Amino acid sequence: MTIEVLDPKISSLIAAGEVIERPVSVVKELVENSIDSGATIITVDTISGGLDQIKISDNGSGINSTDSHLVFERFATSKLKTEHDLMQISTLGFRGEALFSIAAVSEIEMITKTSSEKLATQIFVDEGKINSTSYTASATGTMICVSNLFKNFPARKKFMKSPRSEASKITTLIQQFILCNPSISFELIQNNNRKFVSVGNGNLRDAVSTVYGVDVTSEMLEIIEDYNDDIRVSGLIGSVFQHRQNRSGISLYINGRLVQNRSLSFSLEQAYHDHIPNKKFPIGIIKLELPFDEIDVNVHPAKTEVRLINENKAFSVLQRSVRKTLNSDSLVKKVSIFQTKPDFSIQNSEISEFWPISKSNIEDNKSFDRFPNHKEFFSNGSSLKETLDSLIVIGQISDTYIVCEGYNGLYLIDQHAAHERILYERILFRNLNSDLEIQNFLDPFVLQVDEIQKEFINDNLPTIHSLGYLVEEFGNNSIIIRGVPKIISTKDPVDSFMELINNDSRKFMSVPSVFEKIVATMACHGSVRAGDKLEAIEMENLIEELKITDNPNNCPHGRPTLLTVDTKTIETYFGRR
Amino acid sequence: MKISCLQQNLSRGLAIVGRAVATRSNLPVLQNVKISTQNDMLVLTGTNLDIAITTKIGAQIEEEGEITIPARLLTDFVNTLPDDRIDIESSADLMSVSLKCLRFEANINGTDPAEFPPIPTVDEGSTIKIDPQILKETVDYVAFAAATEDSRPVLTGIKVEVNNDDFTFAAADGFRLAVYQGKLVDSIDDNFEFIIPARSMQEIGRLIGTDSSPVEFIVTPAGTHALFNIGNVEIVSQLMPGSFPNYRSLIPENYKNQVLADLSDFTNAVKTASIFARDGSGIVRIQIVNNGDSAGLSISSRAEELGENQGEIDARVEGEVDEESRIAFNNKYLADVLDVLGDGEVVFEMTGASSPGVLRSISKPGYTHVVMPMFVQW
Repeated sequence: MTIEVLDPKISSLIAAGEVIERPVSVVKELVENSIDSGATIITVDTISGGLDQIKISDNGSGINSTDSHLVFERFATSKLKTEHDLMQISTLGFRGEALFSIAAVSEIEMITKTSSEKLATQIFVDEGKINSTSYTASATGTMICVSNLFKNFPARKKFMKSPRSEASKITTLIQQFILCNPSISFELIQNNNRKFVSVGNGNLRDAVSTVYGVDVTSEMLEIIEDYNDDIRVSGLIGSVFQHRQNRSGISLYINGRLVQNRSLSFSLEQAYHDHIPNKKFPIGIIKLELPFDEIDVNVHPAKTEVRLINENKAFSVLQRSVRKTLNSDSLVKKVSIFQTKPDFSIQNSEISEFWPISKSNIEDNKSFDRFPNHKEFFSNGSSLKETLDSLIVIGQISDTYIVCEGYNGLYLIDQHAAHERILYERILFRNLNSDLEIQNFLDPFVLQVDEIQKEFINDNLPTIHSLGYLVEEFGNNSIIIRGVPKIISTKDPVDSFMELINNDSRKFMSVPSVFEKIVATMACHGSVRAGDKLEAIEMENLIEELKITDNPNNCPHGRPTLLTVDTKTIETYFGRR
Repeated sequence: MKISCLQQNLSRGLAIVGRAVATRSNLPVLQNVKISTQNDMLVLTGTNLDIAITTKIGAQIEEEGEITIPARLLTDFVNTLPDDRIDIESSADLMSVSLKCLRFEANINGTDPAEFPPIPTVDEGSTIKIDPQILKETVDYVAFAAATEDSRPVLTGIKVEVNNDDFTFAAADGFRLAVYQGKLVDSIDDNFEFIIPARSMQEIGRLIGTDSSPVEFIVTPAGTHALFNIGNVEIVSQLMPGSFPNYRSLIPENYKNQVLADLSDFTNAVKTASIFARDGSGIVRIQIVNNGDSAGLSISSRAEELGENQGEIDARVEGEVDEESRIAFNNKYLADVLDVLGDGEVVFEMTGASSPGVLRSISKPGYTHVVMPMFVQW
């Protein structure tokens, strides 16, 4: 068999295949180029999900006419000069492969102009070869139009999905760009219909509302940063009432780059742990900024996978920040009586003399505030603890809910859920902090473990022991379990241990979920039921004890304990505002 | 089918087979009872596939036939009827039964008996005979120690070993072990072993009345089913695959201290301690005391926030007693075994806080119960 160096034409096709998988990869590469060029307005226009045509135009710096033919060469880039630069990558692109790869598999028209030039350069490229170069009139910036994608790559073309599904991939991508770049205005046009356009005013909340809508966005919380020397966390996360069936609502950006990282998304889930129901996932737009030399993005040409040198630190900074944000929120679901505000303010303004609210106040209300101050809108500006402190019991309705007057409104407490929470934390505390109670096995279990599990067990042995698992090494690749915490001994004790050592991220979870489930059931059985009549003193005590729990807002099964109708809503309803 | 029988007999028969009728099943026919005729007897059968119970009652058969009808409906109806003759009639094509008793009558819709799962036949293999009262006691003494959770399915069964003229029943749930050894009525040449679901054994125990004729049972040569004959009642139970842990190695051969105490004293002291253990973690602590003139057991428990209690009972203590002659148990495990031992005298053997404790009854020499201690801070 003879070995030959591949024909450049074939090798370029192979390389292109790696970067350009489907239309959405073209859009991704070109939009990243636009962002790197400093554009503030980027328009993406596709036909048939990009299979027929993809047109990206921006108002960025443009390319010099003398350099413009170079952009279609392999490893041609303006973003990297020396080897050292590779360690300090701040631009989205840098490998110099994108345009080269796109050009290899399609027809391209490019019009580009820098601010110092008078005329724009127009270049036509077909299968990687420049067919013609001419001058034309255009504004500063770059327009690239890619058509006939994969024309010389029939195998890849066969794998394309329907135009509709390719289009939806592009929509998702542009939404991700919007979330990541609030100061750039993105416009998405598909089959000549404008899908959406983002404001590009630099406000993350505005950007998020383009994607998730105003209703969802207004309830989201801004991350309160837990300061750390070199890791910065910012973004918006969903309130505890906003959760999804899957992880699709989690967008993670590291240094402005959308990335997938299981460990970090697990960190977010852990932060929400027992704030939201089991098997639900939080939503959030999380932006992490790390020193450039602490991450490696050069893992794969698509760059969605990154390696962090100090993953554990990022994990804990993110978790702490999110936890802090959630704890600072009052976490009380507000009831809204109307879908829209009744239109009192203008026509009825003359009646306002009879109302204890001045006319000018009403005038003020007319100015439509797209995003009411978040704190005021959602959480009355006070933390949950303060809110609970302010509660005065009025009575009980349906022998199920405690009615209270409190900070800025009316509060309802589900007596069962609240009591459940109190007992849950008390039992959990007793089992984790008081004397260890371990039930020994008659016939100890010998468990096969692999190297990773074994290392994990050895690293966490003190914690494992403190939970009440009597575990010892037993020969080469096995361990022996001699006893388990009494509380779970009648359930499936070995499974709970496996769960403990087998979570995806190899981060130690404090308590296995079987453990929590049993405690939750115990708490549920011990608590007052819906339908139990309570005396005032009992209700007051319930609130008193709820106050000292870690998570007063949910019962251990994730149902809420508290509901509020704030004074403002009541006033609005009665026409006083 | 056209038959007549007495209300009392039918009611009793339905109560017996009703134990095997499935309460919830995705196979609706399992909620039915099968009524058929055989040699001038009315045959009732119920099954939930794990266990099948068949009983025969005396009846006047005018026309043979078979049908299955909802067990619950039939039982409830028959139970309310006066104690008199019931005439049962069904036409083969209509799949319904009419019942008449004095001036009450009912029509109940049934299903085709062909849909009813066939009951496995067990006719080969050695017949083993055990005295009914001894078998009943064995079940009482052993079955409660079997696991109720399915995490190790084999532990939800009872290991039965038959050897010449001895039989041994053993059950364990991972934390305790109960073993009962007894004699067969007639010795056999074979020796064999099998695992039977504890629930089936408990049903069999319940069906043993005051009758004194031996219970006979046969195991299929393939070891898949066992058939028990108790008077007029036949029970076929599935046997469990898998291998049971070697329980003999779990019974300690030695002990440091042996204590002989009155059972009712011991039971009462544990009950007292359980009151405190109930609100706490459910742990009963036992300390052996022997200070020359008085010897016995000190039994205590505490509830974190509520308080603690302690009681002492007299006992004969053997072996050297020191600070370390103490052991803690899950109060449920201790209470369970003391409950079945009834009264008389109990032997309690232990070595230390982390070695298994052993309980035996003076009046039941074949019985051994092993309980694993709890690890606690003293």
